[in-house]
Amino acid sequence: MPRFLHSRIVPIILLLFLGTVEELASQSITLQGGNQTLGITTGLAGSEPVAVINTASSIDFTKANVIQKVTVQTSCLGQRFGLKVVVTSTTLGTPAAEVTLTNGMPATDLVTGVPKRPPGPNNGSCSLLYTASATFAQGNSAELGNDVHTVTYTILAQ
Amino acid sequence: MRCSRAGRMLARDFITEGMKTMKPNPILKRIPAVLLLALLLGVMSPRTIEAQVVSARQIITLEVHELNVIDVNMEALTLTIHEADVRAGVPLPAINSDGALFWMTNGENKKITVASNNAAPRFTLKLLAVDIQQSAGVLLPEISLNDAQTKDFIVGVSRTTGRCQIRYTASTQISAGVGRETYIITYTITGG
Amino acid sequence: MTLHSCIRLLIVLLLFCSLSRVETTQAQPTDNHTVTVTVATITALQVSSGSVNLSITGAGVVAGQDLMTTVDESTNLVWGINSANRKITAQTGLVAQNFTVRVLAISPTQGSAASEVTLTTAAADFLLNVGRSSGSCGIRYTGLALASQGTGSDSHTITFTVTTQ
Repeated sequence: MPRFLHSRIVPIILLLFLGTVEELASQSITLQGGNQTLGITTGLAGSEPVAVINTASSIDFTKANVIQKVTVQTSCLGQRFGLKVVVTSTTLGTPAAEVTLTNGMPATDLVTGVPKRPPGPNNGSCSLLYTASATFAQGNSAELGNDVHTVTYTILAQ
Repeated sequence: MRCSRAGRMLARDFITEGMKTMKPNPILKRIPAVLLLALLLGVMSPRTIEAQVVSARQIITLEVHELNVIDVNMEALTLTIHEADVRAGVPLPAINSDGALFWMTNGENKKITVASNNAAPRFTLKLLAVDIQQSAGVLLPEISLNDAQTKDFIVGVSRTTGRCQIRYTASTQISAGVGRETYIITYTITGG
Repeated sequence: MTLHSCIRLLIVLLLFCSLSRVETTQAQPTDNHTVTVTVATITALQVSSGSVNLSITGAGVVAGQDLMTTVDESTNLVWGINSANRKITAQTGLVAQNFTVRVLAISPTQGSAASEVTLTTAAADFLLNVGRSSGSCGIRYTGLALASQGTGSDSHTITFTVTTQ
């Protein structure tokens, strides 16, 4: 192979591959903490059951070449009780308002304005806070079963 | 769908760094207060503790005090002497039994007394209880209201309600002439 | 560079690219987990005050009438029940009563009031159809005494209980 080919084409090919790898790899989001259970066990006479919270989950995500956002949606057939999620803090972007998770909901913004790279670190993280609530009128799990949500987080270009 | 080990390590390292610059969600500024409130409610409120039981208790005290009540059905009666027995040479007495007396007591050994406000009556007024309900008390003989003294009318009244008719008899002597007298008669349930 | 060297370099590059693509396919823009919400069976019941005094002192007592009564509506009952088909009963712990106390739920915000009942040691219906609800009602106690029952006092411990209807 002529030297000029070696000295020009190979780095170009390398950069193309690296670029592709970087671009695709940046569309990455990982949930930490595993599956969660929130149990409502107490209630006030004349009021409603006391809501419970869970802060054991967080999301790791990466920057891309474009400004991104994180959305959330859930699937929970026969949902009976209330579930909300909100980002309590984030290293990149801006937390959105608390999101009420309902079965079949459209993807809803949870973090917006995740900056593109560079500069700064390529990875970000945010902490999640789930709030489960129920009313007396909504019944209990012994009679109606639990609500099992499959909560999906997506990072995409904003 | 998991990052490579290198990727995860990188992310973790950065998270450690990034914690210093995490931006809190403004919406969540209220959360510590909410959590504190929930904690207080959950730990300290007696309502929450009681909320887990299926029963609630209440102490009810019913007190019954001694009660003595007496009343008459007619507040004013008029007796008119307008005839005389010519042979006997005396005016005929006037009799009225329209009035009734009612009482109630949950006390023991009560009696009903009667008194007139007329200490020196010109005419004669007597009264007698009639038609008393069984076990409502013991009747006494006819009473003459010839002074202002309090006199027993019915005795042996215990834990009962009662009713009787009051028979008033007004009489006079020729020597007493004509005129009008008013008596204020007071019945009292007392004793015990 | 010899041709052989070029080929080896290309192989290395292809291998690197191949590994990179594997890496790329592993990174995804979505992730999910399950969040389970469980709600325990919760039954909450509370009276607004722990004690009530009923006194028959003569007000409203009529000469000639045997029955004397007194009424108290100063307290209320609040509840929260997330089970279906529930009612609330009332009973007294006082076995030997000198007098009579009746109880009635007034203006319930949920469910329906049972008929006024005389309190005994047996549970009697107080509120019906209060399953899966949160509400309140007033408690009307009526104390009754006859002249023949004399004087005295009764101290009742009233128990309201949520039970299956």
